[in-house]
Amino acid sequence: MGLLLEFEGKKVFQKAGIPLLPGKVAKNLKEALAAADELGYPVVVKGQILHGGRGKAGLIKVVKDKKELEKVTPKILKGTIKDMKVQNVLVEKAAKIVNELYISSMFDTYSREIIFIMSTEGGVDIEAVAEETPEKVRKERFPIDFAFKSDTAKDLAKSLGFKGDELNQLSDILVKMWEAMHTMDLQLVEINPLAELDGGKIIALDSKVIIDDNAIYRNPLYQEFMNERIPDDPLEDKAASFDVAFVRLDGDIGIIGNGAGLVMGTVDLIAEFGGRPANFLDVGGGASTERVLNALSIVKAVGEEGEPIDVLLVNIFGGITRCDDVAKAVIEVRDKLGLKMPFVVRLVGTKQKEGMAILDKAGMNAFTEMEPAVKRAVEIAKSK
Amino acid sequence: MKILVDKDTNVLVQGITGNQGTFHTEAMLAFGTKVVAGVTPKRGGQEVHGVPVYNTIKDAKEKHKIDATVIFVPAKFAGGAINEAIDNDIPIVVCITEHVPVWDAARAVKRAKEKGITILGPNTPGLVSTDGCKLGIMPNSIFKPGPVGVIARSGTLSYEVIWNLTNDELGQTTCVGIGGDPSHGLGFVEGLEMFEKDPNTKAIVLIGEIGGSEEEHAAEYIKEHVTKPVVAFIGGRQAPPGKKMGHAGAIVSGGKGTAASKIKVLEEAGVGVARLLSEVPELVKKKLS
Repeated sequence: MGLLLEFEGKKVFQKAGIPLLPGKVAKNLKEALAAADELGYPVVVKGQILHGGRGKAGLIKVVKDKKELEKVTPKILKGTIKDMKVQNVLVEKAAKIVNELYISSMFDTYSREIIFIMSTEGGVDIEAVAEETPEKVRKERFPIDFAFKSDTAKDLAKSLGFKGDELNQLSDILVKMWEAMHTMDLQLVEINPLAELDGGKIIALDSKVIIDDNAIYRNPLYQEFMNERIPDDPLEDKAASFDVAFVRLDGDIGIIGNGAGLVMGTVDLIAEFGGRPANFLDVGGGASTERVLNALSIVKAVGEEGEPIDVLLVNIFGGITRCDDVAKAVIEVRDKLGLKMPFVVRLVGTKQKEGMAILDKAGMNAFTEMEPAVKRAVEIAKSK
Repeated sequence: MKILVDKDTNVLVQGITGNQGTFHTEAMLAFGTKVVAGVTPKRGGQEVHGVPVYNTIKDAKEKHKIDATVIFVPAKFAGGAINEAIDNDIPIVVCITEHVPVWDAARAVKRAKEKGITILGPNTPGLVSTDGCKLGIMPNSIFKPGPVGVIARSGTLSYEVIWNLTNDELGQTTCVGIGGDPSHGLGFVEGLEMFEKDPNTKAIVLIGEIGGSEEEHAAEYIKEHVTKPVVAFIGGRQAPPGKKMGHAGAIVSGGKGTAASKIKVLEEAGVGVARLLSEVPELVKKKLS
């Protein structure tokens, strides 16, 4: 899912005309020092990571001078939350905040509407606000082809009690969010908090933006973001480059299969029978030697990096795929990658008998039905 | 009674000269589908497996009656292909293409709804009427005519279920893939409505998965409007959390979206939910007896 880093989201805001504090991205201390010099102290150093809870993790610090910056920046740059790494830091001019608000727009793909949520309470968990003080939260839906202009935006802001210049600034931001959703392939824009500064100017203090991964090809800005990212999990990155869907789980049964639903069902079934899946991996359309090679090389790495893989389960519902070809591909790849663990292979498609015979001969456990195959894989794993 | 299509439906293939288009045109013809024409820009005048190719749908429509179209064009052009079908008033549009930008799909579906056109997909395995009409990529060999209506989000998971049904002598009326993308045309609710109305369909199998709110809407609809027995399977019970929309998403769906919550609402609506895929035929038989 196309979640952006805070600074990436803010580049989207900049393009959309949503006001921000002056800031610069820095990859290292030297760049951070230069950024702070340019902006002028005090500044806020914010670790850029695809995970919430940055404040609690100590990845956001206000620094008043060079000495402090030199102290905190290297620590933030080395920071992690769960399995995620800080990518770089955003150095922003510190500002006095008098009020924190909440605003978000989400593309509801089921109803084909944009949902705006606004609240007078920002900087906190919006769900909790909605639960405890529903009167402080406004939620409005608009069909995607609605002509959303400043009059509608003003009505929305007015309903929460905003007036005067504040009202104008807010409605301007709402209209810009609406336009950006439409023109920049956005799924979610959340600004929490939206901050009112001393002097009355309203700016986006944080950003949470989700883009449509399918539309990266037509947005050069997003291509730039993706190229500059440091992969949190190099193996996931490799899987993405092979165009296979992959998720690491923590078990000892390696899985490849074709079709997200079938693999999801396979993972469920392993757990149902008391086994522990090591991964989710959808090889995608067709089970060519190249695709099987790519897929199994990833599962191999999963076992090398973490808990060893005790058994490999291949679940291919081909239909039109030729089973003899798939069987040959699996054997070829096993030998090429030097995979020593037992294989359980389930194949359905044309030339099924021939495929089964080839697998049997190569010492693999061959099945045409899914459940006995999964049961067998779980038995093997448990006997290890 | 037909559900969307039947053996007499005149089918157009958009993107017929591409690898996928050519390959699946052959399989669709083998299934008995009346593929009357194909479209690929600048390829007019060619033939693919005996099917004449035109540059545009407009050209094809001058020579043929077209009741439905199936789209195999690359993602970048899929939005345009759906819009071309809408502009030419093709009543049923099946978009197989994966990775179509969400906004393109949503805009096209919205336009189609206003014109009373049905869209399946994007990212659907397609639509099969077991009397001999297939628009899509489902394997021909898994189907058998019979009393069960199947509607699914996932392709391969539905093949598995359909194959299990067929092996258990439970044939199907129509099998509908609604597509795995968040933004798609026909949903579970519209599909259920068609199966409920169809006299040949005696039981309905619904195959859902985690994420979104299709299953929740289906459960509500079943409770109110469906008198026929419904059996469901939900994939993704073991999927790790974290691939979800952020706060705004959570506040909209109000804690819905997990496999457990979907199973719960479906069971509350009287749906038999199978834990194992192999249980689906047993549950259908039990409900039918």
